[in-house]
Amino acid sequence: MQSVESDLEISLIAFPDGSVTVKENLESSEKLDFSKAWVVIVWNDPVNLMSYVTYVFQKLFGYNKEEAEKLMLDVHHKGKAVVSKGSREKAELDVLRLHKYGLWATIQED
Amino acid sequence: MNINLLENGNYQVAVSENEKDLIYFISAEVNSFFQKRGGKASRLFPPAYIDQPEAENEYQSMIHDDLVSSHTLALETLTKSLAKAEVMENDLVEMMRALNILRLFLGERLNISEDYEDSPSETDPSYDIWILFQIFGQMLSSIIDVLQEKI
Repeated sequence: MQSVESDLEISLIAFPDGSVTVKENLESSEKLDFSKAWVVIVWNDPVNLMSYVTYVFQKLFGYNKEEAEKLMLDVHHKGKAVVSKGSREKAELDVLRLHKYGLWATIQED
Repeated sequence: MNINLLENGNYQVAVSENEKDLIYFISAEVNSFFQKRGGKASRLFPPAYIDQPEAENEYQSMIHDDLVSSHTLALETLTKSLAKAEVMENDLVEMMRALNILRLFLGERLNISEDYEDSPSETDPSYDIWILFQIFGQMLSSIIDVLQEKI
């Protein structure tokens, strides 16, 4: 298996059987417009503590505390907030990570 | 529950015997629930797609077992960590995640919604569950306070 870095900051992984898989660099995909077709929305659930939601946003997405608290308050007061964007695959992965932390997250086209 | 950060970077988690018993009891109930009912509960297994049943079915078929395993592993880490003198940060995060799972489970039992009253009366059949829900909330807060200092 061989990995090649391209100009678009994606990894092309070639397997011995000749197949090739394209793996996006998650950080660089944030900068590419064509990958911003899906959004991840977190919905309010009165069971979850506000401090917990804030911590999860910080831990999973690298938001600083101020940004995470703003998003948490959007969830709390407005009922929902968009917490990440990207390709459908990335959005589904983010939703799964949020579900593992017990937050109600959904995915939809931007 | 009292948590102290040790010089080696690990955490000492002090939990009373009564608190341990509550955790063991409800964790066993949640595990049993996963096995008996296949883990169908909206808070523990929320939908990923709204109004897109085909995409939702496809998504759930891909991730449901992964999510059950993840929840189960968190609960296992929580119960095992209660017997340890100290735990690493990753284990403390898993304990936090597990306590939230216990609260989500109890939240389903209590039918908690935006309209839910702050406290049922002591004669209400759900009062004991509500007390448990509050106790786990306090434990969860203790862990978050400590973890928040290092993130």
